[in-house]
Amino acid sequence: MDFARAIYRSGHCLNRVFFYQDAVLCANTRIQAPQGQAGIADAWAQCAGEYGFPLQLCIANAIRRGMVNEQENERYQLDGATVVEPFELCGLGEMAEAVSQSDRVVQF
Amino acid sequence: MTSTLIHIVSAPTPEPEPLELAMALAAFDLPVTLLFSGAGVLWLKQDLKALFEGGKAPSRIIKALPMYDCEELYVCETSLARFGLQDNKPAFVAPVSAEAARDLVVASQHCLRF
Amino acid sequence: MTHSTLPPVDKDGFLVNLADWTPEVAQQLALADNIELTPEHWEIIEQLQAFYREFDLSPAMRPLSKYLKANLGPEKASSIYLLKLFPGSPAKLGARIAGLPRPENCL
Repeated sequence: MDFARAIYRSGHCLNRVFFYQDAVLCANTRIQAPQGQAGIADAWAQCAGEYGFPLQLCIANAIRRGMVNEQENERYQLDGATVVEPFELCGLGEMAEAVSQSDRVVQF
Repeated sequence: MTSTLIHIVSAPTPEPEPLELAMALAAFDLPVTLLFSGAGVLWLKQDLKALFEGGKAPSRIIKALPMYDCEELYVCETSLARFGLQDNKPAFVAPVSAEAARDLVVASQHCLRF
Repeated sequence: MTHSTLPPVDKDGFLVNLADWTPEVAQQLALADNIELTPEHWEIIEQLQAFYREFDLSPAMRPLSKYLKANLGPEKASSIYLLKLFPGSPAKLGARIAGLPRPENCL
């Protein structure tokens, strides 16, 4: 997230932040941050809102880990969404698009 | 045209997500090269079973790569030897020297490491 | 055989338990999509199942087509041919009738 901010401070921009494998858990609304710490999902949401880049989770990776939005919650008939906006569930086509549009792909 | 290297350096994961990313990029017409090195060469072990009951066997997903338009497949021969897998890898994965492996990383525009 | 004997399927019509698949179940799954299974259909269904056994994956259109081309020749691997047999989305529909899991979202 510091890196994301630094990118904007130095005049570049982010095409998107794409969460893959266990990183999708960053968006879990049921994770309770220890007292005095900001939740990671909220922190990302705030950062993305500030600069206007999308936050995308690989949909297949997310579903495997119990991460669903309203629509997938409905499809699999679960007991509630664990992913809320601004996080989106996306196919890897989005990642392919990002790879082809960006000068750099930086992985953490 | 961008070139993306998927560099597999870690041992197989229960779900073949690193390979799925490679297949997906290829499905969207991006040229993808795969390089296996370090513990990543264990993905190539032919007799490796699925990591959990009912899971996918890494060796089968590896075999599927050419079907999914991932045809540039390389493995670092030094790593292969370290794990004793010289004779236990699919023929369509080409062994390269450690130096050539490094060149692949340098030559790719994007590199994703798993 | 009536609809009441169809094993449970999910919202998109895929079998909940893949082990429930039988040729009769395939007939019913196909009928639900207004497809009467012919030997040409069965040939593709068998290839789909072979693909799954070999690679542990439900093929998307492109790998399926590549696989069919290698095994049955180019005519039977063309999208036009497959669309005629399984209208709309051949890989998805074929997987459903063949008792394979739903092809992964992105592949």
